[in-house]
Amino acid sequence: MGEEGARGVVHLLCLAASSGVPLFCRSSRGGVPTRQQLPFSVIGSLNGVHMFGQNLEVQLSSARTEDTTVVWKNFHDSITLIVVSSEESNLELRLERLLQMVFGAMVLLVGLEELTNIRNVERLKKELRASYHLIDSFLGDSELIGDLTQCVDCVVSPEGSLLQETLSGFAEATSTAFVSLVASGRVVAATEGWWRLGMPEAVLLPWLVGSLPPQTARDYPVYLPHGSPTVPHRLLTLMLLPGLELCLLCGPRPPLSQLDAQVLERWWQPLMEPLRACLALGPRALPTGLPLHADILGLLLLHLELRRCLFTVEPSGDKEPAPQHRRRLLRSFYTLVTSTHFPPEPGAPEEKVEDAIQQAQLPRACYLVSGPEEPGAGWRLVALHSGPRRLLLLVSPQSPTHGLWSLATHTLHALTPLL
Amino acid sequence: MARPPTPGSVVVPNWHESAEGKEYLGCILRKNRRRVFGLLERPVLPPPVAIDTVSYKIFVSGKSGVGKTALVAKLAGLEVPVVHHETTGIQTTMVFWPAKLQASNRVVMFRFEFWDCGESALKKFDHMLPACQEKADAFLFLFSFTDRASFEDLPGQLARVAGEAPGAVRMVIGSKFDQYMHTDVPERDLTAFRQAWELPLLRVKSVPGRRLADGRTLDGRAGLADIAHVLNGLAEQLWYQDQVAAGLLPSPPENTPG
Ligand SMILES: Nc1nc2c(ncn2[C@@H]2O[C@H](COP(=O)(O)OP(=O)(O)OP(=O)(O)O)[C@@H](O)[C@H]2O)c(=O)[nH]1
Ligand SMILES: [Mg+2]
Repeated sequence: MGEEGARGVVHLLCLAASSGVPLFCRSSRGGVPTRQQLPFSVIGSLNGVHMFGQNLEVQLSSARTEDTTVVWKNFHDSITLIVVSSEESNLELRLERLLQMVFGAMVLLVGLEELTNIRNVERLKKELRASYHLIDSFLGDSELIGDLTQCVDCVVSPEGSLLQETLSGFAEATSTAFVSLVASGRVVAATEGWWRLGMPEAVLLPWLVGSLPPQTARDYPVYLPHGSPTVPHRLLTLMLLPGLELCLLCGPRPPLSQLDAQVLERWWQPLMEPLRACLALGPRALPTGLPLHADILGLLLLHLELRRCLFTVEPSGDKEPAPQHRRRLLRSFYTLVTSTHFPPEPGAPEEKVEDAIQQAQLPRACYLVSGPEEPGAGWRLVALHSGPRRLLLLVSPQSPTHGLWSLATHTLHALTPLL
Repeated sequence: MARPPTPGSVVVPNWHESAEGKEYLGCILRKNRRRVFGLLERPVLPPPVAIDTVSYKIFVSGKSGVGKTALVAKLAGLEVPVVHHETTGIQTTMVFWPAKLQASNRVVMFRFEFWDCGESALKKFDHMLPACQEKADAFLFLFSFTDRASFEDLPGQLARVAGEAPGAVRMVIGSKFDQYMHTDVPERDLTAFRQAWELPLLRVKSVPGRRLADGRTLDGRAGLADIAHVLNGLAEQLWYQDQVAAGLLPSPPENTPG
């Protein structure tokens, strides 16, 4: 799974369900956005076969050929999203979640009303361009994983409580309940209100901020796909340092002009060092002091009740394989264990039935070797489930198989205070 | 508003190309790229040099697609958008620019805060125009050389957007000047407009500039050379306006379009 050579092409199509008019197509090859598009006739057939089923009251949701997976999803009888992927590791779960995120991104920026009551297709096409940055970031090689896990990507700062305190004070002073501090798309600190945001907006908002070209400040109308899909709120972002933004979700007040450099300096200048440290933390996501076993090449820690996650493939630095490859391995592994071994997370809409019966028989851990078969050669992947937490580790081939369970248990124990 | 100063009479025009100017520009560059400043940051000059910073809010106004976002990106030394994506709300961009004053021979750090708002967002959401207008020190009115309607809309824009702000600087900017071959706005129309309005007028090309040896990163110095005339022009108008407002200069007679 997820071998280096097997980087395929992903095409995402969005059509108006009733007319079949394409609204946009986005594509990526090897994790990089590309202009290459599917021929119009292929788009037509893909939509045609889905419509054909629908007319017979058959819901066509996915199909697979030798090297390609197709997933269809219709939203509010108005928008059809189709994803065509030749990435080997793309199980349906991954693609279904991708489509949910894409639709969420569309609602976030243009509002549900425009999408369910299409009056002017050309106008809608133009408006949807605003969501391309965000959508492309789902198709590309992101450092984040919230699109897949439906948990908010976080960073743990060693000065977390200090940042949290200032953030709360700032929120109170500006009479805003929803405030967060976001470093390259990852939440460093947030108010209780912000943490109560529903899905998918809790994942989409920091992701949006991380995907846009840099701006000193923004005042953007956003529609919350879960919380307020038809009435826009204001998303204010203030770039304290390049890559580090303060985000406020609010109504008519405060005006952007009230949050000028003087106000921000008064609150945040005293915390310059911790703020800079957040940036340096970057993709590591964990404080440097945290002792992690040197065999660990990457980890994903999920807290399924808080719906937050920590994802890093750079706990220790520069060994093989490359970070993108590590991320891909962990993504594939997550998809695999979530679709086959572990139950879907609570809160995910698709399950709930028979929970109690299954609970007793659920696996608590599983492991997998990826890559060459020879002993000591393949990457080890371990997953462990305990209470609300789930830990996935990518471990070096040198690590003895019999030690994986205890390595994972120890690591989970060490990480528990963080999330 | 007072009659604008003659270009080059307030700010030394080519100072940024002098040895001294280049040294000052070093503080807004890093490794030959333009530096992006966060709200908690400002350019730092070597210790013996301490200069004053003056801050201004500038609202960039104009029809959808004339090139507001592209111009601001160009001024900030960032990648200019090549395809038109409507700006969905307000976005501000901070640009620092050191300039030398003719009268005192003093160097001043200008801190421009550009407010850019997509035109369709402006029409859809009532709070945006007032937010952009509030306490603006200057208004940039953009028209595009390739869009006649955007030029004809200028008088309307001037009244709608800056009508309530008699004290603010107003400048007109003709964008897409690199497309001058295909222009819909001939020189004689511009001349007539200038005679009627007596507003400073600049021409810009918001196109990607030279890149560094890696072929990807924008060359910061080359980018600054491309837009120095805009930043100097703006600095000059704003400084002059402040002097007039402070009663330091005799205010020339008011001009009304005639
Ligand atoms: N050749 C050329 N193209 C330009 C220039 N300025 C802008 N453009 C292009 O014109 C298109 C629209 O520019 P934007 O800056 O996005 O337009 P805008 O005024 O911000 O539009 P709204 O946000 O919708 O109000 C983009 O594709 C730019 O690349 C220019 O000086 N020269
Ligand atoms: Mg724009």
